[in-house]
Amino acid sequence: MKKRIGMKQVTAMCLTACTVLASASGAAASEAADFGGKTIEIATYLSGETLAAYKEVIAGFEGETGVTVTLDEYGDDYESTMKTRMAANDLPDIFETHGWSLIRYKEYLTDLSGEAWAADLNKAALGVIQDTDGALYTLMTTGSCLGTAVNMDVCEAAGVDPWAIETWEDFNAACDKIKEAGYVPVANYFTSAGALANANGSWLSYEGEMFNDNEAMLNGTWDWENFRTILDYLQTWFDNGYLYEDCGTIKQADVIERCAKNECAFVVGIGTSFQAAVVAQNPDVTMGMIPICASQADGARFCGIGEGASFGIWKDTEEMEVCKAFLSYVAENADGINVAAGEISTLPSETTKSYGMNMMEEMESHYPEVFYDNLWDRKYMPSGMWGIFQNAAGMFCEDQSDDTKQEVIDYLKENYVDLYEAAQEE
Amino acid sequence: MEKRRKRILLSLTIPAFLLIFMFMIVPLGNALRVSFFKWNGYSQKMKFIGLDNYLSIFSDKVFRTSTLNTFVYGFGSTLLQNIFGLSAAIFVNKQFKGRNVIRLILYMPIMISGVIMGAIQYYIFNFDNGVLNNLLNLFGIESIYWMKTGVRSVLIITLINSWQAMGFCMLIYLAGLQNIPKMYKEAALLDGAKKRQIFFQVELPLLMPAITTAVITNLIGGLKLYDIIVTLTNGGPNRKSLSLSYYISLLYFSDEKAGYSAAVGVALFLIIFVVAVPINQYLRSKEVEY
Amino acid sequence: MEKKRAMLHTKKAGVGVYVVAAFLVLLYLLPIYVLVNQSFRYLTDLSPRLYLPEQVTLDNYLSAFTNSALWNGFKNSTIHVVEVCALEIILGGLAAYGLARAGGRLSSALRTFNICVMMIPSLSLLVGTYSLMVRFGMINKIWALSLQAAALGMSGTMFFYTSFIISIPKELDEAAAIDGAGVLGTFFRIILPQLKPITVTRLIMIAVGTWNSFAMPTYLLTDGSKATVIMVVRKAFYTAAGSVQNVPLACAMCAVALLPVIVLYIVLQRYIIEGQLDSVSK
Repeated sequence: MKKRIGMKQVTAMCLTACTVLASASGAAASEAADFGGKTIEIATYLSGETLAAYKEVIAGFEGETGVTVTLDEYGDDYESTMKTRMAANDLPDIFETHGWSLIRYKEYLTDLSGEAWAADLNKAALGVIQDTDGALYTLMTTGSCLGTAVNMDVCEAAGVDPWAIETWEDFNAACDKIKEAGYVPVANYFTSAGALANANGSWLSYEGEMFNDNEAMLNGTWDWENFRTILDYLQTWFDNGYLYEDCGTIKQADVIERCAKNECAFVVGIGTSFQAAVVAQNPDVTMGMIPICASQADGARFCGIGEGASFGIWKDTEEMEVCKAFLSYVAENADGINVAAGEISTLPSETTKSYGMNMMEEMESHYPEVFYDNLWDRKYMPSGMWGIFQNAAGMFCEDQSDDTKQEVIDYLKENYVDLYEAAQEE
Repeated sequence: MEKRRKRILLSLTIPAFLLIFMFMIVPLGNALRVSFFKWNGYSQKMKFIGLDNYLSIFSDKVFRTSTLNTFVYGFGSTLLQNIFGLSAAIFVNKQFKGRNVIRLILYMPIMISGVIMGAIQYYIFNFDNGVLNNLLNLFGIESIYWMKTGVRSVLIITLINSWQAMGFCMLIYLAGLQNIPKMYKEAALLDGAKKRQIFFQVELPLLMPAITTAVITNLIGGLKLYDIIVTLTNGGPNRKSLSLSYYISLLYFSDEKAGYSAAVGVALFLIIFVVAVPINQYLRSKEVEY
Repeated sequence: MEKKRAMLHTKKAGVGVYVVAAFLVLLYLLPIYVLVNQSFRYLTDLSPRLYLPEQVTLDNYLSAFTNSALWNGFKNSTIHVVEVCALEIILGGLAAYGLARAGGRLSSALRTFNICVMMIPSLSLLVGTYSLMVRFGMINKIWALSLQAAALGMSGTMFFYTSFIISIPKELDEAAAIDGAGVLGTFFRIILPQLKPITVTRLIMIAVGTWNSFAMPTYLLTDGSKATVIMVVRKAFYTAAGSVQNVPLACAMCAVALLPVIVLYIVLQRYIIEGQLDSVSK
C-alpha cells in the first residue's frame, strides 16, 4: 500500500520517456480524424490560467477532429453541481475527478487502463489513481504536491532555517522565533478542511509515527480517540498565538494576499499552487516548500500527492470513441496545463518544468527521505468526509476546550461511520 | 348566471396554479418523501429511516443557530428597512435641489444582484485593505476584524441586506406620504395638532397599506436570504451566519445529507408558514380604507 | 419679521439637508467606487482599496470585453428574462383577476394558499425540483428554467395584482357585464387598461429579480453555454484550487456586466421610480 518514490527518478523517467513519445505522438493524432459533427460535453472546475491552457488544448482538438466541445465551467460550484448531476444520473461525457476518481466517481466512470497513455503515467500518478485491481478511471495530467508552504523571506528575516525543521517540535520552535520577530508564524485558515484533514495524516497512518492505523481506517473500525492527539497538537497553535486572529473566517485568497505582503511564514498542508499564486501577486517574494513534519526524529516527513487536473469519461457516454480520442489528445498536449497549474507533471509529454516541479525538487534536495502518499483523506476516509472535516475545523477553531474536542471527535466519528456504511452498500 | 361567471373567473386561475403545482407543490411533496430517507443526494440507493431525520433536528446546534439567524435576517432586515426607508422617504420628500438624484441613487442597489453585491462588499469589510479599515486607519484607529464572530457576521449581513433593499421601502413610503390628501393634514393643523401628533395619528394610519406591502415584501425577502451570504461570509465562521436556506443547500451539497436536508426544508416551510400567516392577517385587519 | 425668520430657518435646514444628502450619496456609491477602483488595478497592486490604484491599467477591461462567455451570458439572461416576464404577467394577471372577483370561500382560500406559496424558499425545493426536471428532460433548457422561475414568482405577481384589482370598483365590472361583456372581455377592456401602470412596475420588478437570480440557474443550467450573466460574473470571482484569483479582472467583468443594468436604470428611471410610486399610490 505504501510507496516511497524518489522524485528525481520520476523526473528522470519523465524526461527519457518524453523523447520516445515525441515521435509517437504525431502518428497517434492523425488516426483520430473522422469525428466531424460530433459533440461532447466536458465539465471542469479549473479557472484562470489553467482553464485558459485547457481551452487551448480543447481548441486544438476541435480543430484537428471537427468535434464540437461544450465546456461547462463550474468553478467553485463544481462539486455541488456534479452531485446534482450524479443524482440525475446525467453526467457530462468528460469531467474532472479532482481526487475522487476512486471513492466517489468510480461507479460512473470508464476503466481506462487499456489506453495507450495509461502506460506512460508516472508512479506518482499511478499511486494516486490506480485501483487495487489495476483499473484506472482518470487521466491525471498534473499532480498536486501538498506539503508546508514557506515564505522564505519571512523565515530569513526571523533568523529561521526552514530546511532544518524535521519534527513538530522543531516547527513550534521556529514559530516561536518568527512570532518574536513580529510575523504571524502559521497562516492556516479554518474555513478549509486542510489543517485537519490533510496535515494530520502523518501522525495517524504511517510507520514510525505515533499511530499506524491505516488498516482500521480502511475497514471502518478505526478508533477516533487517536484523533485527539492531532487536536491537542493543533491547540498549541492557538495557545501560543501562532495563528491569525481571524483564522476562522479568512479565505485562501486573503492568505495569498497576506503571504504576498510578507506577513506570515507557513501554511501547513497546502499544494504548490498556493505558492504560485503568492508569487503571481508579488513576484519579489521567495516561496518554498517543506514536507509536513514528523512527530519524532525518524518519523515520516510526509508529502501528499493529489490528483491535479484529471479527466475521466462517463461510463454511459454516447461518444465513447470521441472521448477516448480526446483524452489521448490531452495526454499528448498537457504541457501547457501543467505549466499554468504550477503543479507537478505526471506525463512524459510534459517537458516544461513547472513552478511546482521546481519547488518539489528543491524540497527533495533538502529532504531526500521524504515520504509520498496519496492525500490522507482521499485514501483513508470515505467519500463525503471532506465537507465534514471542514465543519469540524470551524468548530475547533471557535473553541479549543476539552468539551469541543470531544464534540469534534464525536462529530467526525458519527459521520465517518455513516459514510463508511453508505460506501459499503454501494 | 352569477355561478357561471364565478366558474369562469376561477378557471382563469388554472394555468397559474398549474404551474405552481408542477414546480412547487410536486417538488415539495418529493422533498417530503425524501425527508424520510437516509440518502447522500446522488446515489441510486435510499434507506428508509422513518422520522429519524426530523428527530435529529432537535439536537442540531447548527439548525438552531441558522433558524435564529433566519429570524434576524427576516425581522431584523424588515425593521431596519422600514426605519431607514421611512426616514429616507421623509428626507427625500423635502423640497430641495437634487432630491430626484438622491432618490435615484438610494434605490440603485436593488438593481444589483445579491451575489455580486456580496462579492463587492467583501472588499469593504475584509480585514486586509478593506475600505472600512482603510478609513479607520486614516483616523489612526487600528484595523478591526469585522466579521470575526458569527454574531458580527450576522449583523453585518443584516445591515448590508437592509442597506441594499432599503430603497424599496423608501419608495413605498414616499408614495404613501405623497398620497395623503393635504386636507387631512390641514384639518389636523386647524384642530391644533402638533407635528408629531399629525405623524402618528394621521399620517401613520394612512400609511398602513403601504406598510403592509413593505413589511410582507421585506419579510419574504429576508427569510429567504441566501445570495449575499454565499459571497460575503460563506456561512462562516463555524457555520454561525447561515440562513436556513443556505444551510439546506450546504447539507445537500457539502455534507451529502440529502434526506436530512429535505427534513430541514420541511421544517423551514413550517416555520415560515407559522410566521407569515398571522402577520399577514394582522396587517390586513389593520388597513384603513380611505 | 416673521417671514424673515421663517426664511432663515429654511436656509439653515438647507445646509443640513445637503450634508445628509452628500453622506447618503457616499454611502450608496461606495461599492461602485470600490468595484471600479479595483477594476483598473494590476493583480500585483496590493495598496489600500480606499485609495486610487498605484498604476492604472485597461488590460482588465480589454479581457472583459473580449470575453465571449460574458456576451453569451447577456444573451441567455435576456431570453430568460423575457420569457419569465411574459409568463408571469399574462398568467398571473388573469389569475389575479379571477381571484379578486370570484369571491366566496374558495377564492379566499386560494388567496391564503397563494400567500403561503409565496413564502416557500426556493432552496428548500431544490432537490425535488431538480429530479423532476431531469425526469422530463428539462435540464439545460432556458425555457424550462423560465417555467420554473415563473412558477416561483407567480404567487408574488398574483398577490400584487390581486390587491390592486380589489381596489378597482366592482361597479365597473358590473356595468360591463350589463353591457353584455364576458369575463375575458371585461378583463381586457376594463381591467387591463387600469393595470397598465402597475404592470410596468411589476415587469421591472420581475425583470430585475430574474436577471439577478443565482441559485436556481446555477443548478438548472449546468451547460456552460447556457450560463446567465450573473453566473459568468460569479465565476470570475471564483477562488477554486489551482489558480490565482484575479480580483481586478473579476471586477472589470462585473463592471461591464453592471453597466447596461445601470444605464437602463437611469434611462428608465421615470418608469422604475415613478412607476413604483404610482403603483403604490394608485
